[in-house]
Amino acid sequence: MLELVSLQTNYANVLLNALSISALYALVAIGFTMIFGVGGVLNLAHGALITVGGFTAFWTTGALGLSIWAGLLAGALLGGLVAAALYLGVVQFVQDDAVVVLLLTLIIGFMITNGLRIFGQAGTISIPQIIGGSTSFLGTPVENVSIFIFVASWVLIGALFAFVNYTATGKAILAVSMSDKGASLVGIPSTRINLYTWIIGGLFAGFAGVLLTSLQGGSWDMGISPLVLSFAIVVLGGLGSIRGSVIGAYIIGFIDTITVSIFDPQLAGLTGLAILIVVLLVRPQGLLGREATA
Amino acid sequence: MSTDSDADDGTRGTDAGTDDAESVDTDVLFEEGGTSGEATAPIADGELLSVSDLRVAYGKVVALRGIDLSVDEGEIVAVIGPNGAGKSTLADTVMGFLDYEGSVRYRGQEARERSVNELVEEGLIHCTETRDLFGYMTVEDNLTLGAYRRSGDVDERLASTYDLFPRLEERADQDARTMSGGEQQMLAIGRALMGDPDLLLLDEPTLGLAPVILEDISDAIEEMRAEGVTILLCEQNVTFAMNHADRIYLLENGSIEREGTPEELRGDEYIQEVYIGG
Repeated sequence: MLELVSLQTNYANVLLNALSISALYALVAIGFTMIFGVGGVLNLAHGALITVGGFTAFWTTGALGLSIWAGLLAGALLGGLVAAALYLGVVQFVQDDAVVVLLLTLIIGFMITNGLRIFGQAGTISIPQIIGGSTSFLGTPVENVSIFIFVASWVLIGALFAFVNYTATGKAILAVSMSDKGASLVGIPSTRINLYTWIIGGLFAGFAGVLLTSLQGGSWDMGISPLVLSFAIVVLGGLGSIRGSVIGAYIIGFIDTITVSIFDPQLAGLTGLAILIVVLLVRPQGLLGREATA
Repeated sequence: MSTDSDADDGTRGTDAGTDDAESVDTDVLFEEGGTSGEATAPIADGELLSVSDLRVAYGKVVALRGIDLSVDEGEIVAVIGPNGAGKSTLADTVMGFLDYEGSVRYRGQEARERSVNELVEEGLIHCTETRDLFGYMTVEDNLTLGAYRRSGDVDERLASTYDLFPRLEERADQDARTMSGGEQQMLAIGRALMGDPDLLLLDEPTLGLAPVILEDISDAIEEMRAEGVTILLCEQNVTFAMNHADRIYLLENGSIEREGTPEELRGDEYIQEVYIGG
């Protein structure tokens, strides 16, 4: 009897954990898919931006002795700053060549993460928890940090939706994603619009990096598995679709969390790849993907 | 991503070099060559567009072989000619999408010295043959974005665009991609008008349209004329062009072969035989 109760609690925790982790994955995947949708660029350095966020918070709270809130802010901002530098310094010049972009972002991501490993911290890093304690939900204690992550992520996702769908700049972002030439015909500056998507993607990835570190610790290579999951998520949701990547993040986030917690932790990330392969075979445009020609 | 939205006017025997030719915003490839532009006569009063000795090539495929052409304020000037003559290349070059030799001056300033964004800001608006609409956006969002570079009363302009094309108002909430070809053409023209053009480059507005829609487009062009919009019309449909244009250039194989008023060209034997049919 006692065993059954604790098992139930365990399952409930797994599900609630999946709920907030998936929101973080959604943040990462949204940035990844926006950068692709608008600029046609697959940013393989996106995982490194997560690491940048985690390490920034680590140093802000450790070496600088500031609060974790300052760490969260700094991590997100630096993520956005590094992404902006990446676009302005490199990507904008090679944007039309997909292979060159893939290679360069892969190499730069590698340099950033290994730079952090060599000149920063080779082992794991940890930062203070955003909020301690737990709240009881239907008899199950839920960690407050999970609730915070869930709420904060959804506030950001909601803000992005509002920005994209209801502001002139947001609509310009959508316009560039639909027709580059059409956008230039009405005078939309595509370089600036692309820069915005990189900044948003970087902010979101940095933010997610801080919270992932706060939740489960971090390391220089902490961005790799979220990047792989993001790949699966955006393909499942439909490359370039923000809404699709939120849905994809929840599907893959849940399946991954459940697989890891209930079956075997070593399967982390593998389910995502399995789903990626199935989607590519069965419905390559993803759940909400646009048809190839529009 | 950028390649599928290229205007394809059929002048490209090959894709060679099209990508290079598109690096318009930043590069000034023919900086020195621009001297030929400086040699042209000073801009006459009321001259909006002045093209002289314009040469454009896609790699080794030459599309325009030294063209001279001008458009004065308030005029409707048509460029007619068969498919592949270089009409869309001309429009794309004027808009700053292609590198060129010779001179293309809008309001007295070389196109290559301006970015496409700046040209739009200065009232040069291009309604392309490929339309390049935002397919997954509503008609109204497409129109509103047409005024992206315009401050002031967008609602007012929207209302007058709806007056011109009532069909667009009926379909205001519909996604652009779900509309018929004729409706999409109206939307493309409507979006261009939202940009408040001083000079409208109108590329093949009648292509593939049913006669009923053709009448709507005809009416729209006359209304634009009444409002003082200057138009450079690239058009295969010679009858349509002659009905609207003040002056006409015949473009064949990248060269201007005839120019004159519709009356003059109607009397031309060659035009009679090849384009009007005898």
